[in-house]
Amino acid sequence: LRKLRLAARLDIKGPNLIKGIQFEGLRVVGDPRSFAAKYYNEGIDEIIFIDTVASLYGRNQLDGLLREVSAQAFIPLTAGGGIKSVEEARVLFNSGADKIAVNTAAIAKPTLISELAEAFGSQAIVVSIQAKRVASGSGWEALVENGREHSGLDAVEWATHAQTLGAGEIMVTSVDRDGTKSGFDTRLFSAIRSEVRVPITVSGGLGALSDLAEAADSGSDCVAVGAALHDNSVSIEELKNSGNTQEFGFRLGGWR
Amino acid sequence: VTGVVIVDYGAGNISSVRNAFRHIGSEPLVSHDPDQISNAKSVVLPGVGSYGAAMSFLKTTNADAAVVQFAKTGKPLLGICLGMQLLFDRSTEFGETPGLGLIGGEVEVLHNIAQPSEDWKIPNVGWRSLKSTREKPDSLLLGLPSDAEFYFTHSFSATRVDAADVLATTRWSNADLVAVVRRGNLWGTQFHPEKSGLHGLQLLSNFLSA
Repeated sequence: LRKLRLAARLDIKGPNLIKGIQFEGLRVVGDPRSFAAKYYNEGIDEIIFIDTVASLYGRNQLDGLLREVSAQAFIPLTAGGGIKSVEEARVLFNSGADKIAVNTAAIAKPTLISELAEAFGSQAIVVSIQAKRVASGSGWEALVENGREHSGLDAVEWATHAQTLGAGEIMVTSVDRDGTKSGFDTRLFSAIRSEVRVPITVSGGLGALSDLAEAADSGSDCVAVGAALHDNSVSIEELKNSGNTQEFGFRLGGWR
Repeated sequence: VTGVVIVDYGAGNISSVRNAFRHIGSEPLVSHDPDQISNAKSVVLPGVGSYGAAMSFLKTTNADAAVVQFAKTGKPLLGICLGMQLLFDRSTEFGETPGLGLIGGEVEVLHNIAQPSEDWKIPNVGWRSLKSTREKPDSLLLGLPSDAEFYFTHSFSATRVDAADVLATTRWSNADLVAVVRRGNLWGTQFHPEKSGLHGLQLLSNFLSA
């Protein structure tokens, strides 16, 4: 039995939980604190917060939210969005983050990954990769700036490089499938899995419970769910129970 | 006499450990002051960061001697993750670093401990169940279901630990890793009880009643 983690991904804009489709068309979903509390009480295994407007404001503003959530939810919390330095990361760790996720700044300056790993340990450093299938059809490009800009980097090569630099986890999101509920891009996940030995969190496209088995088959360690949870089209209980009838499973108890 | 003192060694997410103790009705003090450690009712060595950095911080502040002294008083001490690893003799992380030497054993990188099977990953991250080495549960694990899962995240693990000091192990690749240790009044968990939901909070409550 493969044990997967089930994570809730909360994209944050200012005080709000938001959700986009293919990283565009953002809409407000609600108060992130109440969603985090609900997911914790329903047995989510971890929560990932992404500040989607951090680069616009020049800094990640999740510290207040992390302080509130970490006082009530005793599971791992990841914070990402616009983190450019060890000092910015430290603020988030001191506010209750267990892991931080970096993307744009790490692509601009890959040694940031090593600096962060040295300061906080590899296990606390997640490299987030927003991968978009290239038009020619072979491979994926790693996008930056929340999926808005090109980097020219091959997503699989970048994952391998990030691991070498000290990343303790790779979080890969399929930009093509994000928010579409049309199923995972498992070829993308398998391509990264075959090149790295750190845990992989996958997201982008969960639509049906059967998609989880495909994520497990692709060698993923954690499935992050956003849209499908926020709009109640699937529940944590359903997701977890669907796992246990197949070749893989999730944490089964310890939240009530 | 103060209550619980969480030893602050200048790295990582200590607030989560404090939050967890607050949640179960205790108001811990976060400190590296040797006097406050000596006067504590119980001491927690939390767990994040690197072995070398943690030991050198403890030495600089003389908190290392205070923790060793505290351990001899018979009052309860809990090491979490890196905090547990510090209780052993030494670590081979980036050369050899001496630990607190309170429990016999060494800390090594995971792939030196186990022959990696096909599905190995480092760091070992996730919710794992424990395999108890005792017929009757230790007071730390009282009231927990036998299949309770706890959150692990680590690249290093204790090895060459006397079997008498090991309360439970967990499976990684094809090896049984040290997951919970106890030597008299000293306990250690490789996992993070403060990040392990209600089971973790139960374990911390058990520690407070020790």
